[in-house]
Amino acid sequence: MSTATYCPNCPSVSNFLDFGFSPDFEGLKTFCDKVIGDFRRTETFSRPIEETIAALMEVFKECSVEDWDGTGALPVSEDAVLDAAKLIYLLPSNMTFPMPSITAEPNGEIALEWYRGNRSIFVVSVSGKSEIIYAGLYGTNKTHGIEYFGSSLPPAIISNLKRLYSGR
Amino acid sequence: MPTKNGETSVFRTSGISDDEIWSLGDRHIQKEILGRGDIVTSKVTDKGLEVVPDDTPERHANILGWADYDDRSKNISIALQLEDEVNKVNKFHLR
Repeated sequence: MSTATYCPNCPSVSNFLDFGFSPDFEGLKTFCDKVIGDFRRTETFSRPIEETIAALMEVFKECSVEDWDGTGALPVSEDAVLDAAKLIYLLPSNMTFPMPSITAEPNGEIALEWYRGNRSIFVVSVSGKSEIIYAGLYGTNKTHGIEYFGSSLPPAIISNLKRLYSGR
Repeated sequence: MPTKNGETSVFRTSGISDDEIWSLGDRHIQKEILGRGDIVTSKVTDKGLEVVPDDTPERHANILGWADYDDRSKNISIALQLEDEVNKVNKFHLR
């Protein structure tokens, strides 16, 4: 797995990658421009989201080719990036939860992970099919499932994040 | 997490030095290696998975027994538990 972290010189939405040509890529660019534009109004909100979107773009840049991990991984698709960006955009704007770390999976999906410590982890994975596959570890308890999402984040995802960050 | 073939590629590194582990990866992975996670086989088999050596290339094995695509949330859950096992003993190594 490869985990991207933010760096000032990495491409961001304000310095968008321009190697895509398909209609989907244009859609992605428009969507990401909107994500940042909506939140740029306040610096408090804009920085974490912009950094997370930048990390997502970095993962897409590195992992959108066949065999990006040297062991036969599938490429990350533009649809998966769109779903991941949408999910990030749909996270509660009151910033109760920190932004997740972004990872590409060998099956071409994108994982967003919230890590608080050992046995305190929540991860969601998107593939571009408007579904969220999730799993959580909370001490000795664990959960997993699939949720479909449209214009809002499924309650199950919110409740798992609340569970992870309860008692902070 | 498994690839589309339902396999997770690993190397069996028991009994060799840290330098030899990095060298093994350098010789057989066609990408720059930035980091690795070490886990004992029993932690994997405890989750109902198998570690099947094929020695192609040397010391290579595949983790098999992952759930079908339709039940992949179970795979994510298992992968999360394995990641936690690696984290617990500080066995993620950055190069």
